[in-house]
Amino acid sequence: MSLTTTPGEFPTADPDAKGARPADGAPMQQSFWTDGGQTVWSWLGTVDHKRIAILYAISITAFFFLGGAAAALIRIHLFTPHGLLFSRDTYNKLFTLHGVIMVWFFLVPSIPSTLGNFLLPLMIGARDMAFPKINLLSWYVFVGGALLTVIALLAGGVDTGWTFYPPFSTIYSNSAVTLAAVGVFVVGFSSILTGINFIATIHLLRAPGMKWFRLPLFVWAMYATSMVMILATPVLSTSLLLIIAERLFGMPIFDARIGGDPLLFQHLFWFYSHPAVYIMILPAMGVISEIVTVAARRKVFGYAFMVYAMIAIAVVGFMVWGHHMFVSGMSPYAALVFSFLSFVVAVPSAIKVFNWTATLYRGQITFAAPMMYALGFLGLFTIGGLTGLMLASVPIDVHVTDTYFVVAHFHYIMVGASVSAFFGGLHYWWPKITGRLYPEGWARFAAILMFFGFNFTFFPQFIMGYLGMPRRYAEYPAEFQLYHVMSSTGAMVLAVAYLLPLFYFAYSLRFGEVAPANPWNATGLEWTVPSPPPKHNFDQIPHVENDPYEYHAQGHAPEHGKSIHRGQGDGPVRTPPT
Amino acid sequence: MSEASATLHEPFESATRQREALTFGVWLFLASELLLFAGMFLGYAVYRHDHPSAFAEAGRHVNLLFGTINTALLMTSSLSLSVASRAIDRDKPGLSEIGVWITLGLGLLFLIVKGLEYREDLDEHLWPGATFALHAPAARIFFGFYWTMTFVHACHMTIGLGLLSRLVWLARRGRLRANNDSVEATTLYWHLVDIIWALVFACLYLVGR
Ligand SMILES: [Cu+2]
Repeated sequence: MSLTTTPGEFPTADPDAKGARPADGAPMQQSFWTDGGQTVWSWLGTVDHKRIAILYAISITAFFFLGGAAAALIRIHLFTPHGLLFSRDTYNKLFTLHGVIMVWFFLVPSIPSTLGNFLLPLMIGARDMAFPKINLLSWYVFVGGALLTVIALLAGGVDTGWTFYPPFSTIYSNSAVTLAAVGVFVVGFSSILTGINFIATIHLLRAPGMKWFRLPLFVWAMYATSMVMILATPVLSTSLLLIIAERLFGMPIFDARIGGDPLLFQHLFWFYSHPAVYIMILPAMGVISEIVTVAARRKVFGYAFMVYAMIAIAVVGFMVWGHHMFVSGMSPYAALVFSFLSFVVAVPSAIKVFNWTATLYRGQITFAAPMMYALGFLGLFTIGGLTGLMLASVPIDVHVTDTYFVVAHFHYIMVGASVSAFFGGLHYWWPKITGRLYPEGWARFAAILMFFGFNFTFFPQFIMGYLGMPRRYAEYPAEFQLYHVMSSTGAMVLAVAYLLPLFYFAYSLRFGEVAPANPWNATGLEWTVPSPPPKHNFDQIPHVENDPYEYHAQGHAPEHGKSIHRGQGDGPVRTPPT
Repeated sequence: MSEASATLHEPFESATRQREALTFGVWLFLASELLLFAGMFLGYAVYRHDHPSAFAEAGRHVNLLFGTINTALLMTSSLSLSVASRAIDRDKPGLSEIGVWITLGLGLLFLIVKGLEYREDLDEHLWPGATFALHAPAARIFFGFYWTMTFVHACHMTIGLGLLSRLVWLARRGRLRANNDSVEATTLYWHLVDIIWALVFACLYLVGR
């Protein structure tokens, strides 16, 4: 191994595991990709958490580009005030398709079911999830439910928006609402099963010595996310169930004509859908914590605070749903409480942003692609978070409700932050998952392009939203055209930035350099096993004797300016030709 | 301890831990299930508060006799399954099998009684459709909850019967002892279904009488 050992290098938890590493430059080793068979059934019937992660990755990539195609069509349509391509009706179906697919079939499962599934057992020193069969089942449930909904969205179309508000969704809409709702209902069970599996795994399968406060922050993020999945998703199921019961069987639960209350649906829906934002952002926070520490070669600043902040976000996140309903006629006292709590939930998020920044302080920062994505995350998440505070205060919210300001805000959080982190994590663990190094130059270019494309797309939406441009309209007054053209142009750039990794990742699978076990010189058990990991992860279950992120001795920041050998460039360490 | 007799699956290295994981997992699932019903109970409570007289009137049309019989059946079935669960932990697979059979029978009886009750309800035009029998408009909402909640509960009963059938199948092949953790998991689930019914029964059949 060509790495020079630095004073801060992580002492491997188990020397034997390291000894099992294949020789550098050797062709594809025995790994989970080959072990267990190469047939289609060996994949579709697998209970290996790593293969299931790959199955999820393929499915959500398909959904991501389907939802993305819808977004691209929407943005092309909006180049001119009268709209270029679609009727109003088709436009409604298009933004519903985009929202439903992106929220439930991409963002919610994205990081947990791919990176989480792959890494969680590796990070805690386990051979698999606690319930491997349930893990596979959750993939089938996911794909089955998602396909039902996609059929509904493509064949019949749904025009309610992803929020399914009654009475439109129950009484007036003539589109395929029922089938779409059934699909989302089914997919909910997949979330719940994944959450249960993660929590049980973290509780019961940690390696000896892997104490709770030695867990990598990514694992804590999975834990907090799973809690939200288990406790929020069933309430979404209930609200969808009641919509289905009303549409299909005429159970008039939200029918205002006989005294029903459509707002009750909004309460139930947002009781899930606000915490769902944390299902999307907490895993991203976990990914960023891993990347920032390794890129700065620093212990994470305030580890315990990072943990408590995530738990606090998960808990307080359950009590703020009312901020989606400030204009629904709720009592001013309720609005006051929801507004206050929405401010409160921003505090732990801010703590995390400060701690990441403090982690960088006096670090030896290298700007490999994952770090570029992480820095993009920090900027975009901060903008999204601050505009979230604006929306949490009732007077501003009343002014900008249902405008592009809101659209821009939640895209900054859910796409700017969450998807950037997902891509960052994908690059960071790509060598571990595939055993190949991605092309660093292209990856950095894509990261920069994504950041600029994203801001180009969504920053104009803040401005036009503030000026009064309402969301969900197929046409708009000519005065907004400048902003729309900017936004649509940015979306094209963003599309290229999202497509690029698809190509260079595929390229690297075939032509990329073979990755060593620990290309980033990172701490963490997942880097002690070969890349890609063998089927059973660990030859021997490791004993953990260190806290996470031991990049330097306690209380001693590495000397400033004394950089450590990292091969050519700042990317993963390349193995020199022998 | 008989716990150690359960078959060990990947990724566990100790049977005790494996059993802990299964029990823990089931508890987490039950927490999730509780919230699934909680949404409906919340809606019910809100509407009961909004339309007290309509709900009271509608509540008087629910068949108390069938409801009471079903409550008794289900409570008894929880007892028999508890016995089965304890018996397998004390190495008495025979007694355990009998307990599972009784539970399965009582569960089936519950669904049959529920079916008879549904038929009566339909005869009395309690389906909130065009021929709905009651005059107060909000009575339709009450029956919206009645049909939805009892139906969702019946779905859970059906899943529970599936799990019990699996235990019977295991018992027939003499493998109940090797799967004692399954017995415990099924028992926990069955108790939840039972408790939910107790709440449904109280809300829909008893309040306002
Ligand atoms: Cu919210």
